[in-house]
Amino acid sequence: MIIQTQDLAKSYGQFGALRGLDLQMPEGSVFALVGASGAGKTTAIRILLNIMAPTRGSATVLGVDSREIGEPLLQRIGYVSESQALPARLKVGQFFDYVRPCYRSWDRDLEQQLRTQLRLPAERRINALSHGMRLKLALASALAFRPELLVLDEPFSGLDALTRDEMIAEFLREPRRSSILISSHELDEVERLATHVAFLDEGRLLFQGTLAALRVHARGSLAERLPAGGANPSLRSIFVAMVSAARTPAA
Amino acid sequence: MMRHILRKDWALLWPLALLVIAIQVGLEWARFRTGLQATNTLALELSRFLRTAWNLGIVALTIAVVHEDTIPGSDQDWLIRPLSRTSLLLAKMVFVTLTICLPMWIVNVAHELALGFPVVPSLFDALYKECYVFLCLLLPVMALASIARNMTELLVLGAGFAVLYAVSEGVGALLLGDSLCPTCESGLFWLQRQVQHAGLLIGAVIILALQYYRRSTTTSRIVAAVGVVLLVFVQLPWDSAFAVQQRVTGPAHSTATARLTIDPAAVAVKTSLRTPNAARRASLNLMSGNVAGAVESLRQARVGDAPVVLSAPLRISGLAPGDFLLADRLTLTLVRSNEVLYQGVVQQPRTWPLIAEPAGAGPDSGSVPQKAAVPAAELTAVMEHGGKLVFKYWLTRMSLSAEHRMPAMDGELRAADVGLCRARVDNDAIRVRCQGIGRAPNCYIATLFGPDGVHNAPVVECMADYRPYIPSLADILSYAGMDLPIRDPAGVAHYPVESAALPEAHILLQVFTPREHFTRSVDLERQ
Repeated sequence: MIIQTQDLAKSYGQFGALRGLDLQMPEGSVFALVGASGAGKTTAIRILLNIMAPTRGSATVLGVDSREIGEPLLQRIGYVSESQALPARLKVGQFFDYVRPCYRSWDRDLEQQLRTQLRLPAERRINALSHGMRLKLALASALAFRPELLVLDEPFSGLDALTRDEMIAEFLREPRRSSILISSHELDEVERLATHVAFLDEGRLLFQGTLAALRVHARGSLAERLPAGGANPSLRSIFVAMVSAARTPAA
Repeated sequence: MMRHILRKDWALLWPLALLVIAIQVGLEWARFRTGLQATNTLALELSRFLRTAWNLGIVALTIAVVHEDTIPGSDQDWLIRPLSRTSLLLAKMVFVTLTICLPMWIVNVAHELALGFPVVPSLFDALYKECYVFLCLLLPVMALASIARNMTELLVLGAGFAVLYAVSEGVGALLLGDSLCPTCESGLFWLQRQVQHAGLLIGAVIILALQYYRRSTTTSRIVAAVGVVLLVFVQLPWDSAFAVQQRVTGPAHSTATARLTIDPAAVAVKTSLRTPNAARRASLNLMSGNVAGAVESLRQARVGDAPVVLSAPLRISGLAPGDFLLADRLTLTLVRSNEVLYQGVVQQPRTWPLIAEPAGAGPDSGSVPQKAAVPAAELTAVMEHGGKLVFKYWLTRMSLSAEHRMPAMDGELRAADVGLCRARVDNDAIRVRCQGIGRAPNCYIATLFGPDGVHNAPVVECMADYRPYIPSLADILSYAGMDLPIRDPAGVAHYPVESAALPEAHILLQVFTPREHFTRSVDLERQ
């Protein structure tokens, strides 16, 4: 497993943002953390990357305890987030000059290729870029060193359809050397990318497994909640059915 | 890795860094142009303005570089890059060193050399100062910046800490009164300052370590708040400070014969200090920020507790010729039937020279006039019904370390202990001003001598400060100066050496240094 968590929990006072999460992300998978806003996806990712500490439980990422994640492991992890605060007053070219020496495996050809494909203007300051362009910049800087694990936290949030397609194309172009953990509530895009999925609701794990297993599970236990009796349910309809089932008290 | 962070910070902050460097150069240039006698008023005003700008500039630049990679929060890009925390912290420190300390060192050395001071002492003097500025000012500012996400949050936090400091001072003054700061306004206060600076440095190191290695912002903010309170309440007790000062200056050996006496017949109770006077003093203290002094004044103003002034001229004997004493602290204890009725520190200033009035100058001639504000009730009890007044002195023997002569008119003097001095004749006085590197002399006596050997009364200047050289945070030079009167504007007094004799006159500048510190008690029995 590339990521494994055990009883992972995070509380802010009385509020439990994450309540005993047990995740298992296989190597080589595109693992989607799916949940509504406030379900705990970003909190889980921040704990996995040692940006914040859990209140309870533990996690291992690439075989290392998440609380021990530091310089050596971050050489192997790429990260893109909708809220990532890039050094705003740097120019795009300066930003690459800054991050490039941080990574031993940085591929300059790949960097050039990504910059060209994503049309990143070297002389523009980051604070003058649109939200989508900033996400593309973060993505390019996360892909150029060929990370073993790519973590994407709401990468499609606030993007127009064209930019989304461009980014998804970029993920799909990436040879399957990387495992990808992606958190999103944009279920149509997730469905195009993911091999595995985990549903989160109010900090609890509702389901995890492959997309095929999810469909089998849905047809078995959520049939009456799915449209058309669950013949060929979409990820969106399964998610909605599963969350509503979880939130409805048992009779 | 540190180099890349440094380069990134420079790419982002070079306009501000260059502005701060320009202010530093401008400030030093303005100081140089101001001149020893401050005759260039435009340069003087400019240097005042630039000094404020410099303070703001170095603080702003330090905060800005820390905030380029803020510690609190979870969205910063650096958190997910393989950057070592040590590299990040070192990069910030090196940036501050290169953009603030290094340019400051260069302009300070240039200023010293332009004034003609020797090269090697100038280099080391400036280096010492820049290290001090880095450790006691810039590092604490970095620590403070590291616990805030942005400038707005920092301003709110800073305002909170300022309020906490003021409240602590107020509470301390109410609880402890004047004894909140036993060493304040004495020559030993530098020791308290060093304790505070050490506290700031230790606090800064703890906070930076917590922030850069653990990102524990809440803990760091608690440490900062506790540190603010400790800055007020951790005070060196007087006796400990005096003992440390004795060790710093050296052991007492030649004061065994020094004797202090008070003639019981000369002791008198004089004016009563009424409430309005105390209220005025309280207001003045409050306006000058001395909360403890204000509370003490109000305490004395209570009904039945109004003080009276006890006059007790002091005679000193047994000192080597040329030596004199500085009183660092004087306490008065009133004892009756083995019961202590009152014990208090005689009021400000706390360090003053004990120099006898010249012979024939009046009823106190040959003795040192000294007055103490004492609670009337307790003093009356002792004076009228018998008891004991115990004066306890903490003293410093000052001895002559050098003598210099300089012409009275436009005279110039260069000497290692006073630096560069110049004399300028004004309407009523000769203004002697000195600038030096290292510390300024503690005490100096200047006497104006006429061509025939007659002289005016010596002018004594003593700074209550026994520190070994510890630089000022803002200025590389130390200053000394005094005015030697030659004419009474009212025309009442006449001086042996006046304007007409000045072309042939000279000034004798005697420099005194502290040799030892010791204590003496004088008991006065009242039957």
